[in-house]
Amino acid sequence: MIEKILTEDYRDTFSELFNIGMGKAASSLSEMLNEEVILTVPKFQSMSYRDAMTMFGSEDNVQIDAVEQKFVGDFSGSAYLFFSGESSRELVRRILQDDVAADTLGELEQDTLTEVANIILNACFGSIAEVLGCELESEVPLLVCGNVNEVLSIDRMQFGEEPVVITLSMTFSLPDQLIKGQVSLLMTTSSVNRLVTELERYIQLYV
Amino acid sequence: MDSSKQVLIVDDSKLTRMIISKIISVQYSDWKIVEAVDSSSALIESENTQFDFITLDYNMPGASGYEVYPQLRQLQPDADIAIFTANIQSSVRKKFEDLGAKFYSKPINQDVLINFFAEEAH
Repeated sequence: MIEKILTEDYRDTFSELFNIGMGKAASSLSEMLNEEVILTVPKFQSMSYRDAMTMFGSEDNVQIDAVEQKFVGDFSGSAYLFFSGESSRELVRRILQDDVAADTLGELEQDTLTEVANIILNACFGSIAEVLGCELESEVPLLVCGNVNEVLSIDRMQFGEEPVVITLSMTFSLPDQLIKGQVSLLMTTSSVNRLVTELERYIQLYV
Repeated sequence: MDSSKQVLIVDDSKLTRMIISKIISVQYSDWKIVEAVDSSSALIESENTQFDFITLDYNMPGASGYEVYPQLRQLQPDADIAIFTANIQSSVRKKFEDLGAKFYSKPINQDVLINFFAEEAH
């Protein structure tokens, strides 16, 4: 279904814009950590919410840390920065240059993680909006910790309809592999249609 | 720059290949353009043709632009090679500049691309 709206050309275009955005985000993160951030090639997948939940391991009850940030404007969606394993704690340790308890994140640590995600997600989606020449406002980022059902809760996100999940994923990591994260995007079908309008305008302009 | 040149565009993004290709075909209609979707295709193309200019992406499936650069340079000793990448970290820029490559950030900017061709042609 979603493949009929987001055709191969649109997927390629959005992936490349995402790549540009993540490049900017990695540059910001690299400055914060004073280390090179290794980026993978963007991987585009689109699927129903239910399939996505299975893919993310909703039955495994694995605890994850993620920062959610909503973007509204010419198109809208919820962007997620997922941290794998101990990555969130290690990232906070490196930025604060302090010990962080293995099991919980204190207020300062939560604030630090949210702010880092805010910088990464805004660099990424701000860049996409800038290249497309469209308006995109970011809302306040929210740290969500729990299993995948809690992190990607439709009730909390208030989409109004079951969203389409676009996992435009790029993994970023540090050379020692201690910090790994991934950015994904959830959008409604109507918002995907608005995104396609923007992508088409961009393609007509430059290609 | 009225003589015909040969350009190799190496990028896994179809969008970027199309944008670069369009800029070249509009500005230099007699230039020959070859596209490669990854590093291994770039090496195959480079074994058969001597290019004047090569635009090379960094993050690509398979070997990265950084990994393939030395082989490309060996196969294409006279080509002017420029990196066009979204990965604009200073450490990445330095790695390429240490190799003697020009380094430009994405998105592709028409003036930057034309300046690269113009500068290197002198």
